Amino acid sequence: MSHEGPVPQSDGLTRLSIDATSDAVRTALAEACGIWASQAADPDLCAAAEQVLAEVLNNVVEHAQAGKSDGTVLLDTAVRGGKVHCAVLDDGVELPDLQLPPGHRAVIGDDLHSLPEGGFGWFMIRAMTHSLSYDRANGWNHLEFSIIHNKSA
Amino acid sequence: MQLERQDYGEAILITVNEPRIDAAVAIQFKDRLRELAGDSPARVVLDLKKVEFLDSSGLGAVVAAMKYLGSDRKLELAGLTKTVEKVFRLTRMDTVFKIHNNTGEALAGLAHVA
Repeated sequence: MSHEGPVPQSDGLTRLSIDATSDAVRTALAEACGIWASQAADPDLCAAAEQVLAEVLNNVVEHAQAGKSDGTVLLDTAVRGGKVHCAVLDDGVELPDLQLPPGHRAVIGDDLHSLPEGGFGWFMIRAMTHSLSYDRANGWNHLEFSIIHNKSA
Repeated sequence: MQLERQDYGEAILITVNEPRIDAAVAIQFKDRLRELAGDSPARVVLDLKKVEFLDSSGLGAVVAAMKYLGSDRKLELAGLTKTVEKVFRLTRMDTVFKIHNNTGEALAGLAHVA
């Protein structure tokens, strides 16, 4: 699927089509930040939303779409009532047990070599979102979330 | 991945000349840091003042660098921007690293070795 740039939707959302690569995620994040700024989200809200969206899209690329070359990832987003709303749709593998991962904070012990190098993503998503839901239908993952100012600032 | 090393005797300073440490560059970051810090003295100060964005992959790469240095050497951080500081604080990784406000503070009393 080729990159087409932002497409306005009839319901006020803007849609981005994103290739399932980490470089395409970078491009999409820059475009999403542009959309939010143009819809009067302040810089702190944009930064928080970018952080969450990065973790969500990285998960999609690294897990749901892993090993697929022709996958589709879509983002529908808008700023409404001081919140950034995002819906991420992708046709990859479903989340384990069709559920959002618990996203516990990674445990930091005293031993240097047991320090976690991963497992931060879902914790950050849960800590920084105002609402978060997941649905699987007709072979598509549908992850929806909103971000407000100052959640875990 | 633009990283730059300067020597200060018992410490080295590694400056990250990139705006982002994210999933797209986390592996390059980790590899390059190992190259630059392979023969480092006891302290490695990582200057992050130009880094505006760090995702969980980038955070993992910084932790991996700390582990690579082993228990006789330490990775210290300096110049965290607001968004990067938030990632360290939220994940409590700010308790693992010595964090300096800036490189001047981190390298106080040390002279640059040409």
